[in-house]
Parts: sequence; structure tokens; C-alpha cells
Amino acid sequence: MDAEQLSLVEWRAWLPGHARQFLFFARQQTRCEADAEDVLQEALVETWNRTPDHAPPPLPLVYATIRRRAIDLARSNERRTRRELHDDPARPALFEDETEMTGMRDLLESGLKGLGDDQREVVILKVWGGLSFDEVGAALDISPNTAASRYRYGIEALRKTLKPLLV
Amino acid sequence: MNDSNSEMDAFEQQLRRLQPARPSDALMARLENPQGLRQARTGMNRSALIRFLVPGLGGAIALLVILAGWFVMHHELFHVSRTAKFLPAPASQAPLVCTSMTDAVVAAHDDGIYAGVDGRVVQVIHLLDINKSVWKEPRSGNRMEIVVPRQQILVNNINTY
Repeated sequence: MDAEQLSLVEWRAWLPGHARQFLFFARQQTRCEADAEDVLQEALVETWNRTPDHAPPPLPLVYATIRRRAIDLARSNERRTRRELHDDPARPALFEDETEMTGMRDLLESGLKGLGDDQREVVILKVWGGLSFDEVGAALDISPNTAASRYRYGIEALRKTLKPLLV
Repeated sequence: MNDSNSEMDAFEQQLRRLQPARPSDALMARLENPQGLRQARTGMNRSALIRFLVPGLGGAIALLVILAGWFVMHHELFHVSRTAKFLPAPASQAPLVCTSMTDAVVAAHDDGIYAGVDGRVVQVIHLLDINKSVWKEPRSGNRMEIVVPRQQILVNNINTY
């Protein structure tokens, strides 16, 4: 087995653990599902090629590349001047369909939609991406303190939205 | 503060219970399959190629047009043909034939009688005549008329007795 095959085996073992978080983030950055998938694929190819020996890339680098690719796509297509959420009415649900949490899922999607872009991306990277504030800052090109501040405001807003369901 | 942090942590835990939707099998195949990666890379290269090739090609065509224009403006062959139209037509080398020539006095003026130092007496008369000649170019039939006014002085001896 040569080095490239070995890296592909490693890649395939690494990818499933992060794919849904990557796609979730890509969906927030794009306007439709097809764009999200294309942006994700291009970002993964880019980071895979940029990483020495094609080793699994650092997570902040992947998220930063997804974000940059989405911005580039939006600019090239001139589809919008600012990123908007859920423009595609046929877009699949953001979260897994778990029957006992359907109410929370709908409220959470609505709450995320109501957040500003800056807060939403920080919340997603921290809560579902599992990044630290340092890593979130690196991915979004902001300071860790700024990331923490945006996160706090975003979580507070979500808590108000989900308050009826919280015990 | 600690209560606030623990509340936030608990809320985060609740949020994390909702898992982001799993990518479709088709997308996972695209991401996992090395051929998918290579296809995407090829597609990316193609789009990059188009992005840079089209403006490059346009620039090359514009450069060619400019060079062609410069060549037309400055090359000897084009220079001669371009300026030739501003030159007068070459003169005919065929001899002209005089078809008529007339000489008519149109005016006469008597200047009076003068006595010369040698004792002679003369009458001076000014004559004005028009000399008109017509020339023809046999090949084309073009005609040219030349009109020349002339002045003559007649001196007539007057006999004295």
C-alpha cells in the first residue's frame, strides 16, 4: 500500500466523524443544498491537497475553507449581498429527525435562523463543531474573546427562543 | 457567575442532543471516493482554467488587433496605397494639339504726337489685344483654352512738310 492509498484509508476513517458538522456549517453559509454540497466538497479537496502527506486536516482550517469558498461562490454568482439562511424552501432539515425532539428541532432551527450571521456561525462551531474559542477564532479570523462574546449573546438568544421547552 | 456558566453548559448539552443531519449517501460517496475527489479537483481546475483562460484569450486577441493596426499604419506597402489616394493623378505625357488661335484688338488708345530729338515727329498709339488659343488632348478629347491679354505700342512717323 503506497502513501496515497494509506492517506485515503486514513481520510475515510476520519471523514464520517466530521461530515455532518461540516455540512451543517456549509448549509449555514450557502443559499441552497446543491451549493452547500459543492462548497463542502471543494473545501475538503482543497484542505486535503494543502495538508502535508494528505493527512486529515485541522478542523479550524476546514471550517475556514468552507466559509471562504461559500463567500467566493456567493460573490461569483452575485446571488446575494449578504448570507441568508433557508432561502431554498425544499432544503432538508438541519437536524436529525428524532420524534421525541421534533418540537425542539423546529424551534432551534427557527432560533438559529433568527440569529445574526456572526453569532450563528460561532454557536454552530462551538456547540456542534466541538471547537474551542481559540479554534473558532482561527476559523473565523476573529479573536477568541470576540468569539466568546458572540457565543454568549447567541446562546442567550437561543435560550429565550427555546424557553417554552426547557425544564 | 458559576450558576450562569453551569446553566449555559447544561443548555449546550441539551443543544448537542440534536445531531446535525447526516449527509446523503451520494454526498458521502463524493467525499470518500478518491475518484470523487479527483473529479472535483478536475472540475476546480477546469473552472480555474476558464476563469483565467478567457480573459487571457481576450487580451491576446486585443493585442493581435492592435499589432495588425500598427502594421497597417506603418508598413510600407500599406503606407503607399494609403497615401496614394491623396496624390494628384499623374499628368498625361501625350502632346497637345493646337486647334485654333485668334488675336483680336479689343482697345486702342492714342497717346498723342511726340517730337523726337532727331527732328522726327511720331504718333504713339497703345493697342490692347487678346490672344486666345485652344489646345486639345487627342486621346481623351479634353480641351484647354489659353487667353493672354497683350499690349502693343505703335509708333507712326508723321511726315512734316
